[in-house]
Amino acid sequence: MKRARDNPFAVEQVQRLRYRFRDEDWPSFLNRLRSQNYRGAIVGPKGSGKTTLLEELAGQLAPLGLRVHRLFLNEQRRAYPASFVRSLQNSLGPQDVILFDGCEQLRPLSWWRFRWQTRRAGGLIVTTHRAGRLPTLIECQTTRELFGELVRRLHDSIALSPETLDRLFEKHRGNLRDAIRELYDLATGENLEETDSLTLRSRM
Amino acid sequence: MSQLAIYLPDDRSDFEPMETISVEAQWELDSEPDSLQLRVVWNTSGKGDTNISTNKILTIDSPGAADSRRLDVELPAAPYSFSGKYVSLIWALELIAQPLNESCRREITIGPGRREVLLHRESTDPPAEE
Repeated sequence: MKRARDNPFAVEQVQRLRYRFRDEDWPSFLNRLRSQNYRGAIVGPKGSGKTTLLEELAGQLAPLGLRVHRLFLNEQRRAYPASFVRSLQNSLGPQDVILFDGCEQLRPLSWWRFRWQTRRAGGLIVTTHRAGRLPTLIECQTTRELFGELVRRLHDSIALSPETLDRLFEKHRGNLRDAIRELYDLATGENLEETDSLTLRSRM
Repeated sequence: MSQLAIYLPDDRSDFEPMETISVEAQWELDSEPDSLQLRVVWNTSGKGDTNISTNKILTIDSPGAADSRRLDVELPAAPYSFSGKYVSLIWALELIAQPLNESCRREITIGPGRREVLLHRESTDPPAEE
């Protein structure tokens, strides 16, 4: 069995993957963001790279002199972020940008309350599964080709049969995070039948 | 180009818990840092979120741009280095130049008999046919 530390699909390896734009680059994206006054939504289904993009965006905004404040909600943590708001509310200004991952967790009324209480912030950028809460900045989508490319980046000596790649992509409905988590299990070598289709060549 | 290096006794990387080791830190930096820190840290690696912890920090003040220093470090008693299917705990020494953000890292094993504790049985046999 492969040790967790040797698994090429370990979380810290996956977190090193960079967001890949389909048809633009960082300067273009930042220009659009500026033209939208740093307000907008990164829209896409689960596992499509929204959080990765938001994380990288934080690193791009700080050197511009903006103060970045991050807020994260998910299905397990969806209460109104009262303490976050309280800690910022009176100090927000044009240089403050809030990056809100998972804004769809707030019900409509809470969402409007949040917007009102943070209205002095210079920017508000959110991730969400569905468009509508703020003007869409970018739609994150996944493809089989992207999945294959990411797998190769995680381990250059992994040969994954196209059938297995397709099967995982279909099974997880394009959710690359979940598909890669399943690859983690396959790479442990316990599920030998599946592992037949996943060839891990040792590095010499 | 800045360079930092950590040299371990006899080039070993596996140690007993609470063993005191003599670590040589070497640095050659483009500019003089305020201080150098040798940290004893651990992190987890695997399928779940990553946890990190700093066990010990030894500071070298006004170290100059290039030099070397030998430091005695008592390694912790626990937790042991271990690996299972879903999580590994990895110890490491890190040498960090402040505030330059230059650093280097050397992973080590801390455990009884200088071995990583394995949470699963190592098997070299091929799987039995059904």
